[in-house]
This record gives sequence, structure tokens and C-alpha cells, in this order.
Amino acid sequence: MNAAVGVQPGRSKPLWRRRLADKVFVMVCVAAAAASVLILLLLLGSIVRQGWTYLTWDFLNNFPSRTAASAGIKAALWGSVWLCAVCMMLAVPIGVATAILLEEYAPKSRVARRLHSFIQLNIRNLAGVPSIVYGIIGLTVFVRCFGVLGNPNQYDQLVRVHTTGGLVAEGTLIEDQPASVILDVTSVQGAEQAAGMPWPSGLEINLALAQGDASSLARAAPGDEITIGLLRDYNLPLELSFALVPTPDSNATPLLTVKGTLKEVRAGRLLLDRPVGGRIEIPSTDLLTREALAVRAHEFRLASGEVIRADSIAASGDDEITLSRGRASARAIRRDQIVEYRPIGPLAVGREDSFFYLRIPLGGSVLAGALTLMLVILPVVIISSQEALRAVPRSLREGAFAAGATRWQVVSRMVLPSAIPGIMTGVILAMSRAIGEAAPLLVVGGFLFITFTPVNVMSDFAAMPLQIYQWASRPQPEFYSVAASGIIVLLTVLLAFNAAAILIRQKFQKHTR
Amino acid sequence: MTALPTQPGQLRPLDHATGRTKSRALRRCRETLITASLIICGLFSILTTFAIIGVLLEETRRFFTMPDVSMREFFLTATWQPLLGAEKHFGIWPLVCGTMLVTGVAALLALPLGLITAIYLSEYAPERLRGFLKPVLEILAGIPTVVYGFFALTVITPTLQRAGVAVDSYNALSAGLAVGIMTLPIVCSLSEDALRAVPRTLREGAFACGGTRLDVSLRVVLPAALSGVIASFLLAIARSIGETMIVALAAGGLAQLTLDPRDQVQTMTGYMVQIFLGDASAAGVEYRSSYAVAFMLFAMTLVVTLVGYRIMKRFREEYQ
Repeated sequence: MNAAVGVQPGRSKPLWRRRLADKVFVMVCVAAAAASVLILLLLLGSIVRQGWTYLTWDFLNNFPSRTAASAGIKAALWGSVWLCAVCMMLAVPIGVATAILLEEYAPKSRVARRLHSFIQLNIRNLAGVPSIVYGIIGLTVFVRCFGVLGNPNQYDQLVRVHTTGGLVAEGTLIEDQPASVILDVTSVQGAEQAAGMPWPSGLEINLALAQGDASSLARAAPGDEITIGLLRDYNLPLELSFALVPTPDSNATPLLTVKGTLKEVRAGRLLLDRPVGGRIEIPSTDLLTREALAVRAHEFRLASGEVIRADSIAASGDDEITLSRGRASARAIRRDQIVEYRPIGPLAVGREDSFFYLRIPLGGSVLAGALTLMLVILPVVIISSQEALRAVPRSLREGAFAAGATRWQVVSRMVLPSAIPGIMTGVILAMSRAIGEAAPLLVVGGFLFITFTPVNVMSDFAAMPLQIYQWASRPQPEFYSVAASGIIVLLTVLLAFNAAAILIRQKFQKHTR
Repeated sequence: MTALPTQPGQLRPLDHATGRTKSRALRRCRETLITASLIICGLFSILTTFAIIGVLLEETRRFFTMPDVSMREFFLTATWQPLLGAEKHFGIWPLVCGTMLVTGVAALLALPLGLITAIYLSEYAPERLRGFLKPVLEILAGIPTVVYGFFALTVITPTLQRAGVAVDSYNALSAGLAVGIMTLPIVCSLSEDALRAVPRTLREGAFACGGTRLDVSLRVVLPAALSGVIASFLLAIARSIGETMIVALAAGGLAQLTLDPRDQVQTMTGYMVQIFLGDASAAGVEYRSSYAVAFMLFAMTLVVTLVGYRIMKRFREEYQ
């Protein structure tokens, strides 16, 4: 790749042509540069135009809602604040320490040199890993803790199904066995059009997320019973109606409406953790979820000497209970076989509503989300801190070393103080990356209909980008405007971050000159 | 630690300055402790890498040992139908094809536009214009991807439809364009860094030979900075492959083998979003399949990133 190869005599075109080409190229350049400015203006303009109507004080102060007019971003805003704060507390020390190791602690031995260059290469590669992959790692490592410590979502997914006849069933939902709800169909409309449609993801049935496929629903006729799988269900009303809407931009009339009355919650798939009657005292669900010593698993010693651990207990008859653990199949045990019962706990510290509550596995909590975000932004923090450290003049270090300072004294008293503005700028930029990330949080926490702000790091969370995605992927067009309002709030926060970074940078530059 | 002779009466400057005297053993002990904790923090990143590889490998292995799944089907067939129908099909190619389609559209937009803007910024633009354009690009780079997804869905697609392009309301074209806008600042700033690193003397020599600015930029500066430019292209492509929220919002959810950007496609990341939003139960084969897809995604981006850094390192011209 010889740099001078282009200017060979004899091959050059006449001067006027070259000058013309230059002028044309300048025009192309200006057009390209103008394009990026135009794109930015168009993007901001369209969002402000769409989001202006819903941007009121109430929008900041309301929790999410089923109607566009009363939807708000409060839970998501506070969720993002919590996530970001916890994430920074984790990422900054680790990131800056790694940067110090790489920049200030030059390796002496060959092994150490290898390690250094490996870490350096590794950080570059980590910076290129798609954020959704980090989400998957977060889900496996933080949320589930590899599944070795039981099912983290056991208490998050306490299912209550109500009908007008009273409580039908209550229990925890084992993830791999979604509860089924059987519906007596009373009316079906628009089946012909909907027969070939795929079931849209995240379809809302009142508060429940359902899975199933459209063809089985479309084939339903009045009088049929159909089964709908439910993943997270809170309060199922008597009458369900399903609206299958093909695309967001078509008008809001649903293609397919199936109405019916709830017939039953299919037994056996909804595992109850509150056994009915019996001789063995097993804590009630209230105790399980509220008390400090939360029970995570149950251990039963049988007359035969066998010990069984179970994540959940279901009463399957008057003198039989069904024990099941994780994915292992359920096993029915006669009550009189059990000689000893022991609730196993606690990998939890504190009461669930106190600010220092901690538990393992983390579940879809703020802490799990923040740890995952930490993985995403750690390479950014490390690389920018390295640059900040590198910008500190060598002479400063050499002077301190000459005065007899140890390595840590040089780092902590000379290098770090002068690198802190640069590090802070990098940290703020990393924070703005963290606050805008949606994909990893979506994997870790999923969509929850959250109407509270977090109280501790174990709370479930909503986050601004997630909430925006949820609004933007809804079929009703008025929610586009709500999404745009959410984007305005998110961009305002980001703008504040960037302004802070710029201010720090400028102050720093003045300081050194 | 430097071995200073410790004679009585000799000043030990830093300790003296703070008014604290510590025993040498104590200092040495503290120094070792600090170094050790720094090394532990440094090892954390390596641990992360191992966790990624370990988790993905293990879960992918479990996926392939499940019934109805085979590696042969995964790599050699082209039907991806994990959720619908009685028979499930896991042939990865429709997802890879969707990803490549979106990435291709994005590259067609971002690479030329980004490179031209970079050349303009580095070789032509007056300082004041640079001071205006750089922040614009920084703002574009800082906008969250979910915002670009929303932009693609509510502005780009309707605009295309109004302009007479027969696109679905979910399509690869507008998703690709949005991904292109997102990666434009990456191409631009990395390429510009590479172009600016070319020493002045090279440019001055070329001007002295009678070259116009275009000759100098395209025939001297660009070839000299080519490795950095190509690396910036590859990094932008890696980002496009891994982009999630834009395609989840704007590209649709139908995994099909198509090369027409006007169709709706499902990318690898889009499929993962669909799974983790709760379309599948946690131990089901569909759920496990997302780990296999994640592994594929990770491998693809890793290869592109590694090649990018390799090119940057190997073909970089050192100017001193």
C-alpha cells in the first residue's frame, strides 16, 4: 500500500477536469454532511410533533395505563434512575480499576505481559458483543443463577385467578408449566379473515399475556372449549375478549374477536404452593413472600429414608400432595409417608419491603438489570478511562517516582486526580448508553405492567426504553404519540447527561491550559 | 518499590509531606493488596468472556440434544418455524438471511455516506463547520436505538409508502435504513480518526506535485488510511448485525428466506426478542433455540470484529 502511488505522471487527466471533479466532489461532500444534519432534524422534528400532545406534567407523574390519555412514564423513569445508579456503582470501580491495571501497572514478567495483552484484546472484543447477548448472559447468570438455586420467579409469579364465583386457584407458576385457562366460547367474529394470521407477540388480554395460535382460536365456534396458555396473569375477569389486529397502521377494529366465559383453570398445570388441609404444617403464602426468612424450597424426609426437595407443593388429593422441583416431573407422595418437613431458606437478607432486601437468585430485579447493564457498559468505561489516564503527562509520574513514591501513591495522588475529569466524561457517556439500552433489559426483566417505583434493588423494574418499545409496538395508533412523549423525556435526560459531559470537558481543558 | 537507603535523619519525601510515617512493611503489604485487587478487577472482563462462551456453548449443546432438533436441520435447511404449526422447524438460514438483508441495506447507506462525510470533515471542512458537524454526529451516535426503531416505524416506512415503494408496514428496507443512520456516526468518526492520522507531509508532498484536493484525498490520504477505514466499516457492520430494537420494531416477525428488502423479515436478534417477550415457555425447545441463535450471532459479530482489529493492526502504516 504505497501512499504515493496515486500521483503518477502520465496518468493524470487534464487539469480542468481534475478541478471540475474536485468541485463536484465538494458538492457531494456537502450533500452528505447536510444529509446527516437533515436526518437529525427530521428525527427530532417528527418526534416532537408526535409527542407534544401527551407531554404534560401528568405524563411524568402517572403510571402506565391501558388508555393512552392517562398513560405515564413515572415507573419507567424511576426504574431507569435506579438501574443507572446501581449500574454506575458497580461499573465505575471495576472499570477504573481495570484501566489503572492496564495503564499504570506495566507488566514485568512474561506471564503478566501476556495477561495484559489478553485483557486488552478481550475488552475490545467485549465492546463488540451485541447487547442482547449480554442480556442472555444476565438472564442465565444473574436472574437464574444457572438454575442451581431454584426458581427465582417463584414468588414473582404468584398467580391468582378470580372469577365472579370467587377464588378459583392460587399458586406459583412454575415457568415451564404455564397455567392454562379453559374458556367457554360464546361468540366468534371475523374468523375467516384471521385464519392464516400469525399470533402477534405480546398480545394483551386484559392484564394477561397469552400465547397460542390464531388458527385454533379462529376455528373456535360458540359452545367450544378452548385452552389458552397464560404466562403472567394477575386478575382474570369473567369475560375475555381477544382482539387480533393485523398491523398497527390499519384501523383499530380487530379482525378476530373471541368472547367467552372462564370455565376452569386446568388442574395440575397450575401448581399450588398452599396445600389444602393436612397434618403437616407448611407456611402460608403470605409468610413465604413477606417474611425475612423466605422459604425457597421444601425438604421432605420419607418413612423410607428418602429425602425429597421440592420447589413447590401441590395438594393433589385429600391425603396426597404433589412435590415438584424445577423441570423434573411432579411426584405424588402420600401424606402419611412423610416423617419430616423442613422449609429450606434463606438466601435472602432483610424484609422484602425494606431498602436493604437482598436475595439469591436475583430474579428479574433492579440488581439483575443493573448487573447486566454493567456488563454492557464496562468496556466503554474501561476504554475511556484508559484514554483519560494516558492523557496524564508522563513527567508527573516520573517526578513522583523520583520522589520515592510507591506505585499506588503515584496513581492515587498524582495520576487519578488529574485524570478524573476525563474519567467522569467517559462515565457520563457510558451512563447515557446504559439509560438508552433496551435489549438486555428486555431479556432480563421482560415487560411488566408496573405501577410502583422500586423500593430496593430486588424490586421489579420498568425502564424508559422498554416502556417506549412497549408503547411503540402496540397496535393502537394513539400509543405512538405516547411513545413519542416518552422519547422526548428520554432524550431530555440524555441531553442533560451530555451537557454535563461537555461542561466537565470544557472546565478540564481550561484547567490544563 | 525503590530501594532507598534508610539512614536515620533522611527524608522520605511523600511520607514526610503528609506528616504520616508508615513502616515499610506496611506500605509493601498495602501495595500488594491493591495490586491484587486491581488484578481481580482486570480478570473480571476475562471472566465475562468465559461466561458468555460457556453459557452459550452449554445451552446450545442442550438445545441440540433435545428431540426434534438436529444440527443437520439447523445448518442445512431453510425453514424457521419454531412457534407455529404442528411440526417445528429449526433451519437457521431465514434468520441469517434477514440479518444480512438488514445489514446490507444499512451498509449501503452508512458506509459511503459515512466515508464521504469523514473525508469532508478531515480534508475539506472549515474549522467552524467541523465544530458544528461533529456535535451533530455525536448526538446521532448518542440516540438510543429504540428511538431509531420508532423513527423507522412512524416516519421512514410511511415516507417510503408515500413515495410509491410497495413496502409492508414492517419491512427490511426501513429497518435497514434506520440501522444505517445509527451506524453512520461510527463509520464517520472512526474513518475520520484514521484519515486525520495520516501525516501532513504526505498531503503537502502530493499538493506540491500539483494534485488537486480531490487527488490528494482520494489517491493519497485515503489509501494511506485504508486499514483504519476498512476497520471502521467492519465495526459498523458488526454493530448492524447485533442491532436489536430497530429490527424488533420495524422489520416484522416473519422468518422468511428473501432477498427483497420490501418484504418483512425476522432477524436473529428479532427472534430472540420475540422469545424473551414471552412467546415460549422457559424449558421449551423454542426457548432453548434462542441460545443457539445467540451463539450464531455472537460468533458472527466476533469474527467481524476480530477481522476488523486484525486489519487495523496488520495493515496500519506507522508514521512517526
